[in-house]
Amino acid sequence: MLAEMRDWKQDKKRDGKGVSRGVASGSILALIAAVVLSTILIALAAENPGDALKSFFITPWTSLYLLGNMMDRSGLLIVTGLGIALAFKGGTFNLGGEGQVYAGGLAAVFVLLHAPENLSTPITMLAALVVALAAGGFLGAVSGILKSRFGVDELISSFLISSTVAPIADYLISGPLRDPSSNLLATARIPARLLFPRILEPSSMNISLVGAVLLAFYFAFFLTSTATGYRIRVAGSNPLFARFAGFSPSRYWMPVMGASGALHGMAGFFAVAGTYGLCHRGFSGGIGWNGIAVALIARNNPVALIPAALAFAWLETGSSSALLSSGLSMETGTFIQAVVFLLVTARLLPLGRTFLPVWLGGRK
Amino acid sequence: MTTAASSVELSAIRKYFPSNGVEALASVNFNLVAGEIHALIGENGAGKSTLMHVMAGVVKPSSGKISLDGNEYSWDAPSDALRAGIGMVRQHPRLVPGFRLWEDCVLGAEAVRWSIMNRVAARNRVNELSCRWGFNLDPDALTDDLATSQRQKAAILALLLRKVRFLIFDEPSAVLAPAETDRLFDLLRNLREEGRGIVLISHKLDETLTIADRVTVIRQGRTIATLPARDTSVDMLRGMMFGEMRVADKPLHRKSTPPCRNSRQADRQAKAPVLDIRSLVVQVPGKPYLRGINLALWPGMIHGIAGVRDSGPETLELAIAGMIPPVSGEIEVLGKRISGNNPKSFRQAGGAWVPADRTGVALALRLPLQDNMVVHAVGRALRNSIRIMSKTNLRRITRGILSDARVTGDPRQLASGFSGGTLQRAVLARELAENAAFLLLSEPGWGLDLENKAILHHTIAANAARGTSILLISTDLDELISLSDTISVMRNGNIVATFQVPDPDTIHPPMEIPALREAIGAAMTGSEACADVG
Repeated sequence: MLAEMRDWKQDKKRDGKGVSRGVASGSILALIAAVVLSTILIALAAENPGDALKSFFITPWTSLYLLGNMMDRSGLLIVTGLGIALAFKGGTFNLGGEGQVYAGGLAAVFVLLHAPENLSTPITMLAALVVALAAGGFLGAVSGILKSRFGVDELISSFLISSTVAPIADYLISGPLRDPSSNLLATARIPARLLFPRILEPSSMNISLVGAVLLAFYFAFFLTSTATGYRIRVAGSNPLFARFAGFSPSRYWMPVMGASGALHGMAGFFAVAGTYGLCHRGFSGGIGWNGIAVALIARNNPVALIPAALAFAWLETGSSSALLSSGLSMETGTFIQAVVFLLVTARLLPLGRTFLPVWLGGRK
Repeated sequence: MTTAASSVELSAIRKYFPSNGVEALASVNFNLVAGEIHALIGENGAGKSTLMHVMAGVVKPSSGKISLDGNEYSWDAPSDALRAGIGMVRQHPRLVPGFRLWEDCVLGAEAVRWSIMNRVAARNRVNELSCRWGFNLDPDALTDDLATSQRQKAAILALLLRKVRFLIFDEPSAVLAPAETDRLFDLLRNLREEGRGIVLISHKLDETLTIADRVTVIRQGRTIATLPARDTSVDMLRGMMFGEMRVADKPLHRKSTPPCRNSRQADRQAKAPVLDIRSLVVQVPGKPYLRGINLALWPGMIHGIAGVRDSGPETLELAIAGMIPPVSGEIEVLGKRISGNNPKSFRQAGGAWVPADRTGVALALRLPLQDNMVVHAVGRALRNSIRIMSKTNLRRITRGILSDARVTGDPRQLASGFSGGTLQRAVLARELAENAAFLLLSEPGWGLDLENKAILHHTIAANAARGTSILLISTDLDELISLSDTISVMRNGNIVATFQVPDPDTIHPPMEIPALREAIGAAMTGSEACADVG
């Protein structure tokens, strides 16, 4: 009987217009709050708050090296964010991003390192891309199949599969695939001709960023202007409505989860062949998880992923730059990122609607 | 348990829902005394449930007074009413999934010391109460495994545990087998003996009269009368429930587009039925069962389905649309078999459907209205393997449907931002735009004001005149009678009677309509032998 009361209370909350605007402004507000909180944290923890704040806010934009790294990072976040958004639009959750990025990157490195010398660069790169897509896509698709066939919750299964993949990949990198001539727990370096051309030396920014941005626009087009994209949105938004219109929503679970995994695999490929030039242990750290945060900020809108990823990458780069310049402890950096993640996931909606001006979706 | 006679008094209660502009209660007086069973009866939509929701604190009245033992109260939430001693047992009580029965019962009323719940004591308390009232419930059973009658008992237990003095039962017998109903009524009598006050909402007049002490009839949000049960009869109550002839008050929309009924009847034998249902049995948990339905709908006819809630029309609707699988029997739409659990077959056969559950089934509220309007057009585009949809094309389709629906506003807004009545018009327009040969309409007038309802009825009649066959499921008897050629009445999962609707223009004098209304009402409530009329 309490369950009934709870339902009733939620019903009361639910009626009210302008929800979409409120939610969008909630994302922006969360970002602002994250910045403010980070500022306070840095100011409190740093020995020289002035310098620390300058390197948090200004340096990422003035130092070409940091700017390039920030752009590169946002490219990766756009791709993983797309994966999360696509899964969500189709009515599923992909929580296995980390493992899919890892698997995709490792598979790509394997191809790039073992491709015959005489094979042309574009073909080798294409092969590596296909393998990375397949590796990530397979992991995602398994969750999709488990869901549509056996009703297994894909949120759990994708997370579990990803967690299983990580130690296997760790073993491969520190074991059979490790470059014995190096001290790193990493594979051998990828030959220079098989790397994405850098744009802003010496930063890690490379032409895969262009690919990421184009991909975001492609998915925006795909979801709004193709019949398949439309049906994916309908199936994800209300499965009963999909059935009403005469198609099965579960038909899209496997392809959507597969595509989501493939996008994560692609991000792994971009990271190893663009950012790092090799595959070191745990390289996927954060790319998968932060993709979720970015997708949340962007409200799963593919084009909005671009500024959202940039904003998130800035918070990341800014906090680590402040860290380096002012001798803040490593924990402070981690703490700031955790705060950002938490605020972004909470979205601050109820608070936002009370205190915001009406034009930003506030309550009248 | 009560010493002084206590009572709940609702006076001049009015409830207006601004969201859809409906005045559910105009002015109702109702009082419940401890130690009585008070039956509350009225047509669908008369305001019974709203009134009881006001009493149980679920709904706040727009105006009026609630007093308990002479003191005025105002409740913000059901928990306030519970604390004051008033609780409601719903027809389908919702329990917490995964909880044990006793856990669900004590939830919210746990005996707690130092923020630790005494689980053993709580379980024993539930078990004790359950044994005392002869419920025969296993306190450790999982709530998921309970049958409807057991769920009702669990909900009653939860109220008894809170020492609730006034209990409201919302059509409890509609979901019970006859033997279970008898046991429930014994329980109600026992509760009465203990000095508790009971409100019983029911559509089954005869069984209500066997147990009630007093009866209150409400109609269109007003109290008609409160009488001692022994001074009334089923017929008298029915007269009060359905009131004077309302059909005659408003124009019959059929008249404006006279269908050539005779010719249609003449050639119906030559044609195959548009909808052919043969001994359909459906048993889906949580939905009223269908126990062998036979129904044929002939081209160009409007066939109405009447029935009180939970008697089966809603299940029939879902089965025809292919949303739920039958146990046995067949459904054919336009000569094609509807395979169970596959709504696609219904669409492919050429049917269009306006479901009763508009927001749950016919719309995706979280998508823009435009995306909701083009769903069938996109389906066709896919069939013709056009994968890329032109934006201008979609906008043109949307604009067409929305202008039919007389909906203004930006279609790029989320569907959830539009009012219920607007969405209803939009869904109707979308389905009518399909130009389907068979229309399945369920509660098409829901949420519409009088003017829009009149336009809707006109459109339905015009569609039928063009040769569309329509199955019209409605709880609005006036709507059914004014639109349908024939009306079938469902009760307890069966079609219990089928009536020809007399044509007000030609064959029959309009005087027969009140008689028809009476007969349909009788068949719905199931207290009289049903004879075919007309």
